[in-house]
Amino acid sequence: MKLGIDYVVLRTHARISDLLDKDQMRVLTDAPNITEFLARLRETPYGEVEAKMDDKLALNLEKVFIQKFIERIESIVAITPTKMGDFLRAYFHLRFEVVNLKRIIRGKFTESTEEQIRESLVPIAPYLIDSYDPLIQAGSLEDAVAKLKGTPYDELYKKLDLYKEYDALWPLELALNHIYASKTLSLGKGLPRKNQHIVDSLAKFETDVENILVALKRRGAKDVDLEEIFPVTYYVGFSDLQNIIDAESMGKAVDGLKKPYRGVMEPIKTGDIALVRAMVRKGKYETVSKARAGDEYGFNVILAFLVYSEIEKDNLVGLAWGEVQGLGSEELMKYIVIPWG
Amino acid sequence: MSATSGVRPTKGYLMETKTRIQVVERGTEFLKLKRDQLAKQLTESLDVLRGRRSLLLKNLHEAYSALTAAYLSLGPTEVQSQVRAIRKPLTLEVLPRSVMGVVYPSVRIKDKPEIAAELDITLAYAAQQVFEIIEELIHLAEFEERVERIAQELGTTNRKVNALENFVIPDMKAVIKFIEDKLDEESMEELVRTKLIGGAKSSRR
Repeated sequence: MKLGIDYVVLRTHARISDLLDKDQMRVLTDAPNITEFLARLRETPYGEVEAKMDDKLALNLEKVFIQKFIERIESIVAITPTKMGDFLRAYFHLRFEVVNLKRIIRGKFTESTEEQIRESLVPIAPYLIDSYDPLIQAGSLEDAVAKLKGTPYDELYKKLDLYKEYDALWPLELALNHIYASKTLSLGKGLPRKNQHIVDSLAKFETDVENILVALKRRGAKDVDLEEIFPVTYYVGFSDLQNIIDAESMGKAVDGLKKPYRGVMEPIKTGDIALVRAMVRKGKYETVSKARAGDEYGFNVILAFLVYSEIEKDNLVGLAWGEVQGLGSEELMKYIVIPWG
Repeated sequence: MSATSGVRPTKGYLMETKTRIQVVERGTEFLKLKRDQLAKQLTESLDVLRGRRSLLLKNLHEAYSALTAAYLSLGPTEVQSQVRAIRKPLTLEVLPRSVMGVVYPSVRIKDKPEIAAELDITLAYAAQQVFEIIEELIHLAEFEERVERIAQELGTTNRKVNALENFVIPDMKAVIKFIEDKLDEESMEELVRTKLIGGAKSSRR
């Protein structure tokens, strides 16, 4: 049932209190082992988490946390006014669908079994396509991509030649990133004008960061076809990306970036590349927090709650894996984005 | 059983034994030179091995940290999915090589997996570090095997030198002395016999 925005915002405010705050996150991080971690998690709004205690425990817990996150999205989207609800569904469901499509094509690329591919998928219903089954059951990667012809993922079919030329997946994965970014932005245009800015900031920030990371990965490469590799750019243009590719060192490439990207990429200079992902989450966290502070009774609150939830899900997935591996709390805290609270 | 039992005390055998002892003594000298060289190689190699091991442990720690960070940033399912996209496996070729007659396996990397193209930069960095560790591990394993085989060869050579110096050569010298004594004894008997016969002949005249 679709209800008024005020009601949804009120509900969202109530649900924000369900998110784990700094202290709760610290208590979880300090758990000496996974059993204690699950015991401590029981004391939070997550309650009893049921996961098979086998050698795939970290993977099982990841599925549980994703499922909890999806439930949160669904509960909010179901009551949000149509245009905003459509956008939120696109922003999150499309993201997971793109993740799933990437995992299917990776599986097909390496001829993984159907079971292996299904196990790797995010447990969420398809969004723009009817079913994942025909893709998973396809005889080859080319067959799977051919089945996307005529769907909103038609662009992938056009990239098949490039895939064959390089015998690599990146043309298809970049096409999926492009579809996700353009679709999110076009849906964002349907939102009230005052809400469009936050959507633009988030989607464009994510795309720009991904472009920078791709450029960093190709640093030193000659004759890079920028239009082919970066189908869409926003605040970081072709010349910036070319400068990154031509930079003598990672440090120089990062120093040449403008704000806020330089800050996000700063850990690369110290060799801690993984911290960039945490910085991206932090950047998103700060963007939505700022937007939320500007309007406590609008769409920004709903979007902020969902972005916080996603960050919390990522934190818990990382923590659970770290606990299973027996990592210390200091190491774990490094990659955790300090949560709301 | 004594070294001289069953020895034929003939001049021919004495000559043969003397030639053999010369060869054995020259062989022993060569073996001693080999032993010294192997010992030198082993000492040098052990120093290198210690250095390489401590460097490997340091790099291993860094690679593990990078891999841990990648898992924490991307989540285990995404890491597994991306890793699955690396099609080209690591291919090795093992060939025999020899140092001073010591044969050891030499490992050559034929094909390297293409890491950068398919992985997220976080994972590509971790994978690069892990791959460098694998390369180091392969070279270290090759080196360890070489050192182990040199040590084995050194042990064998040392035992051979000891056996030659303490048993074979003294036994041969004993045989030579035995034959020489026997031959001296025989020639002395022959001389006495000749003298006696000569004395008997002259008294008959």
